[in-house]
Amino acid sequence: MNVLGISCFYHDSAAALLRDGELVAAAHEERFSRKRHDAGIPKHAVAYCLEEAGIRLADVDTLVFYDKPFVKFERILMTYLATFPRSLPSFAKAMPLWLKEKLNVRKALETELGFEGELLFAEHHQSHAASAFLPSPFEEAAILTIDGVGEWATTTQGVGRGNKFELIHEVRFPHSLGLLYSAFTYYLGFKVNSAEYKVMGAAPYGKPRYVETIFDHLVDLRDDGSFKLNMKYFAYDYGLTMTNKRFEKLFGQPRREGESEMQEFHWDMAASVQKVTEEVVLRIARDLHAKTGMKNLCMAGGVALNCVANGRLIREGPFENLWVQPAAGDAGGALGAALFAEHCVMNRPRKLQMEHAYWGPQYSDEEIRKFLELREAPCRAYPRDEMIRETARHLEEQKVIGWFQGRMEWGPRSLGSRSILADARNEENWKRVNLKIKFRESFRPFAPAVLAEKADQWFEIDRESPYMLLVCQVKEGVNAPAITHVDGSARLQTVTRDSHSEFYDLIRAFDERTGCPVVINTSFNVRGEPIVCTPEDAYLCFMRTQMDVLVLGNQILLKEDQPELVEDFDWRDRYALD
Amino acid sequence: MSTTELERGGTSGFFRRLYLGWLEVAARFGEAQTLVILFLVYTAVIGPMAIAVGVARRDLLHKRGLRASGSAWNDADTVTAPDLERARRMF
Repeated sequence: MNVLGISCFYHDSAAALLRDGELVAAAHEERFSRKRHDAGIPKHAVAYCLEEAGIRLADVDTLVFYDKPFVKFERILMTYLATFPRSLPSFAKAMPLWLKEKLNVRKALETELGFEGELLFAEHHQSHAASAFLPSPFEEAAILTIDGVGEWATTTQGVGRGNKFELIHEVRFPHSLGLLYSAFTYYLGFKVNSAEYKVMGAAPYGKPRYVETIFDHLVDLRDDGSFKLNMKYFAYDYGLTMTNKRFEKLFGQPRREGESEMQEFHWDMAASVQKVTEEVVLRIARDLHAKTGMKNLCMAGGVALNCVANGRLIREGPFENLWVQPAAGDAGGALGAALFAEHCVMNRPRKLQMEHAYWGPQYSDEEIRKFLELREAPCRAYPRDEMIRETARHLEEQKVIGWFQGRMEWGPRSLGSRSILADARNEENWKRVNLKIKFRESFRPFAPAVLAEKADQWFEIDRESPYMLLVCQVKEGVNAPAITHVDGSARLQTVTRDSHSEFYDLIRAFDERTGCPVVINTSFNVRGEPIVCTPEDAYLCFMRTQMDVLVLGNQILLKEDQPELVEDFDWRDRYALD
Repeated sequence: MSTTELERGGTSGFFRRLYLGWLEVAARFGEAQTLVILFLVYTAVIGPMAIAVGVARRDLLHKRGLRASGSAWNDADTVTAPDLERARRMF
């Protein structure tokens, strides 16, 4: 029985394939199309999933779409009714897209994919909830989903038991914690639905001076964690922007121009909305705990990627255990939709327990060798263990390494399959990787990957964080300036041999050489580019930046040995800044 | 002269440029026409309904009730157990 889940049309389209309840493959479309946050029908991701399973589209028994288009369309029409006549520009922009393909998903999928079999639809937050609970390690758990908006719901509370779950309460559009965060992202000059994590990264540089203003004027937070937004300050319900003039007047500053210098005010605003978000999430979680009495919590939805809030939930929240879907955003809806159909609709028992996030394509050493031969790229092949020792030696010598091993990650984080690695003890590496390799803002921190068994010696953490979704404090006296944020925190990935043996062995080899079980682990891409997928993507990224070493499977390439990369275009034009 | 021939560039450059120019003009014309139709629909259909909603003081987006006491939670729409028929529907 093959069940294929799909999410698309808004941002981060993706596909995930279940075979007899086991996950075979899951991937984001952007990795194949090379278009960041690609929202189109995930043709490439579907093709990859089918190839991984060795089947054709005709062998897929059920295709599941991750939301209910008619209900979403109803919400949009109601919004236009409620905001007439200000919503004309939004109406004129949205309607052609809706009428062309979003409304008739069945036809769009038939036309684009050629699928003519059973097509099912899950609700948006059902998909999120399914992606949170059904692959979790828990037999029963409370469920919390928080994002921008699905059909009507923006936040839901639920309960999962066995192979079923039920959503019990919800907050509805336009009242949305995700959209509140996006509104501040917009106001701070960053790209909405893309750069929210920059606001989170900027927050520790500021002071939360505007929390009271936000709670007094923008957010009506109730004792039970439910909330309403004062829509007089926002424009996302009627316009093409997120905030309006009244919002700017409230805070006394116009919207920041993108790429302009961040001032103290902007850092403070980032700190304030981050603090507000954490307070709301904590209060919702406490209410959910009181309602359910459960000790386990599962989370999904874009706000569940806010790892600072997740860290506070672990430390202060009422739940003993937390599991967050690694692809918590809309891409994860593809997996959730498939799981929803498999278990909730077809009532089959749960089989999948997600213990890692490596569900994308991989390339054999032979395929990599052939590619490098074709490229005429000087390289040297090593036996596995020697390749790891050699890479650790380069890391110790302060080389910045492009690391390409095994199956690509599912979710927005690089977790050791498509990563850029460097020595975390050297602060210079932070500046170098930010400015000369990733070409991104200098304020942004890097995440550490640490051997799981040594994590508590270096960080204030008492559990695993395999998906880089928890922020904790770096222990006092630890020398890792390149991964320690300005407030002493770090967005941690704990690595076990079971989850990724090559990556684990590399960090261990580095630890044996240096006494440091921590490395910088950042995504293998440049700013605006999707994370690399193929050896060619990795090679091009390596050659376009100041990375020193590229490790492709068992092949090691040194920059100094490579011929100059000749391109008849400026690759920077291909990737819009986020 | 078939469109395919033109697209292949099998005819003179003049006709090809003329054809491509026409496509450009037609696309712009189509966009303008779409905007006019959408404007008419918005004012003639959405407008009267929105006025009726306003007169009836319906709060479609539940914007009222700020700073009210009590909970802002709604019962979830998805309480009922999912079944195949419901899952087949786009609503």
